[in-house]
Amino acid sequence: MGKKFLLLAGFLLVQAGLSPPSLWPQEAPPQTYIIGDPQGDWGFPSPMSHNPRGPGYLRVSFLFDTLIWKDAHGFVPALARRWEYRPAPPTYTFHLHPSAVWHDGKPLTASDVAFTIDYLKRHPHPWVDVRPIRQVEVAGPHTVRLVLDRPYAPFLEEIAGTMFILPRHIWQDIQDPARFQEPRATVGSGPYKLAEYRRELGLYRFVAFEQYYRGKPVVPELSFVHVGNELLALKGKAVQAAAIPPEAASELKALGFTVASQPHFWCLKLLFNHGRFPMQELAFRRAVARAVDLRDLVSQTVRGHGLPASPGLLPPDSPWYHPPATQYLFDPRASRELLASLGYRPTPEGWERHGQTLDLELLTVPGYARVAEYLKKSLQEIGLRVRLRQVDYTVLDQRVKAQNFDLALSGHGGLGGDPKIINDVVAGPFAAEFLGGYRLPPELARLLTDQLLTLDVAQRRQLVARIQEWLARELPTLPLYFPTQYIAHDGRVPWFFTHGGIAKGIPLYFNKLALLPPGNSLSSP
Amino acid sequence: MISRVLGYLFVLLFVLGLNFTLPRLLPGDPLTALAGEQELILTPEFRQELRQRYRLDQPLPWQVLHYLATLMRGDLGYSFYYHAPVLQIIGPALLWTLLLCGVSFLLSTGLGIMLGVELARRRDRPWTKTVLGVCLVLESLPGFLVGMGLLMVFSLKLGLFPFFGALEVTPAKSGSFGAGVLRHMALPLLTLVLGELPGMALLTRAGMLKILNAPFVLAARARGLGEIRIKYRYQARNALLPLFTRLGLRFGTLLAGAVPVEVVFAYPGAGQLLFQALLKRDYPLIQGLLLVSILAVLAGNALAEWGYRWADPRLREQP
Repeated sequence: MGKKFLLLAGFLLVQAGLSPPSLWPQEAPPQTYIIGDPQGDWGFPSPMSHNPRGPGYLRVSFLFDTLIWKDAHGFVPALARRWEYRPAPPTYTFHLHPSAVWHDGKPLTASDVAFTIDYLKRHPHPWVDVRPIRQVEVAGPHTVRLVLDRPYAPFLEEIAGTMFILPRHIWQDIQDPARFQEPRATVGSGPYKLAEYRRELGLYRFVAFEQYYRGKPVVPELSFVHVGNELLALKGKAVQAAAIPPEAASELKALGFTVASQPHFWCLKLLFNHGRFPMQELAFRRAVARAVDLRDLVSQTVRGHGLPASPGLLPPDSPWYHPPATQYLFDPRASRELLASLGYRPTPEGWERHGQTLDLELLTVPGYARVAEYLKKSLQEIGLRVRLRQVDYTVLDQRVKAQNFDLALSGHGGLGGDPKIINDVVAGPFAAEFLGGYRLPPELARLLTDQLLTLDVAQRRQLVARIQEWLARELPTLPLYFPTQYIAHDGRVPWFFTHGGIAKGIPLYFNKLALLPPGNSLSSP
Repeated sequence: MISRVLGYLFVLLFVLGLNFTLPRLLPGDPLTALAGEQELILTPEFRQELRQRYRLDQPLPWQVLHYLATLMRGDLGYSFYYHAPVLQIIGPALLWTLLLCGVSFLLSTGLGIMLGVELARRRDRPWTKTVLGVCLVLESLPGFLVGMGLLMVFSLKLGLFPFFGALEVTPAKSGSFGAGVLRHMALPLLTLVLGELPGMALLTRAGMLKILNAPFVLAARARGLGEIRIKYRYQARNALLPLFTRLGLRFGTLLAGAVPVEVVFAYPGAGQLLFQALLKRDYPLIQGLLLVSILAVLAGNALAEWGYRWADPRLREQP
């Protein structure tokens, strides 16, 4: 009996692997393009129920179009083939593409745009804040005017270039948009239609939309799917593109893959609790900044796959980057002097003030453990006592929000898009929670408001430069480094990096424009 | 019998209470987990809307009542993270887990017992020492390492099996549904069986060695019974008692036991789902999965008890 059972089990396993090619084709048909993703599911692909993180938005972008979009150089027409701005009152007029249709064949008109804005006012979207729009006027079947309360510089990127237009005939009766997860909810005007979504497999299968107003995409079928090991899946040609670990880049290049590094739009920062002494003191924050050699930190902790951060927060890859005059060169002696200026005196146990030794806790998550160790070592070298505490992301965020920490490591992206991101992370409704209770100086607050109202790019650039200078001087947080991330693909699709990141700054390569037929105008009007 | 059923009911009610409380004792809230650093750019209206939608703005007692009321209707709630009913999310994951872990449970148990019996009965043969060594090595290897090794050999080098998932992702590739499932399941299954079988075999062997020459075996031989009958009906059955304890425990942990294998092969099982739900503080999903897990533990206990009674008739007479 045992032998028979073993033979049967062995037979089944061997059959599973060695059956004839007709039953088990090994190669994907050439028209299918598969992108591997280690996370898998990013929510149901409708504009109102996708996961609020970048990859969730990205998947929906293949199904739904926005008024305008971005290519490698800047804004390009999408549903709006051209647009104008009139300053009094501040009004954007969008002229829609007359041949744009929904996936169900119905024409897309200006009333769909008006409906979308009205709908988003009633049902907030995680990314699009339509409050700056005071009024919507439908001036014709393909012309719509959006009147703003006041000039709003990020309008094109944050609203026109991020807001998916919804089909009125489908969404007008939907009261609970997040739970509307039927096939109808994915009917958009984008270059692809949804063929299959399987949450448990993280599978999103899109097929090209024949009547797309900019021409049928050159890749007939595109899929995103959950993979356990992107590197092996790429090498085995089970997927055609995926993000890869930095150390695999040269090996994949040698194997003929196209490997591209992504611009540095994500930053790891050291957060200070501004409600506690001495972190609330500028001298202390500067002492910490001077105690850390950022170049060495990058080379030791991420093996050189990153850039030392600018104290002004924006990365050199951002079109709005300005190198601040204030820099913190590695100088442990200066650090000690700054600590002494706060009334501390060095003792063998550490820095002491009023009989108490300074003893700080540094919160970290497993992903930044090496960075935390490096910081601990650097701070110990100037005599600071630091204890590491490793928690998960949610606990760290929660403790930072509750101001129950001394120092913490945390990061965020979005640094490539509109400089409104600085307002979000420094002065947004929840910024104080993520800055350890930092109180904004009035002059910085004014600069931040002004940059949103300034439409002139040169003037705005100056304001953003001054803001970066302020941040570098004040150090509400200490930016540490911008990691370098890589993707590898088989070269079939000419993926490019979007100017400032996709929509409002998603630092991913997979821009749908790369899939459109050649000859599409990709230049700004 | 009735007291036993009542006992199980009491345990179930107790753990339902724990099931609601424990996820909420985890530090961190679901909104923070949902958006992470992205929370900074969420519009305030959207954040408030999420709080209302998931009743996070309501007092805890109301949340308990709501949980129990929906549970009574067979509704496990609505996932914060996936924006979908919990049943809809855990249904497919449970099916895949049941398939993978169930088959591996049966295979590793059956083959493990047979191997253990042979290792004990043929303990003087030279090959048994080699097999014992291999069993010890396999048992000490972590599942993800074995899985990675199998992936590299059978998928990357030989191209025999797929790299990820449980089904073909392109319709043009799928020969037939069943063939696709079997082909995707082969390596995760082999990984699990290789991890579980040695323990079973070693435990069975240890039990067998104690009773190889017991008087009842001698009596059975004297009665002229066949060797196969003596081996399985008399010897193995008596050696299985410690194995039932192990099987009962394993049955209870079927849900989460395959997490490393599910991660390596991106196999869409419930273990990985539970892990993600814990990270995302998705209370309703954690509650749903823990409820299933608790039921599995209770079922495992009940099955182990039944197994004891089947293997050892003396226990049947005890109240």
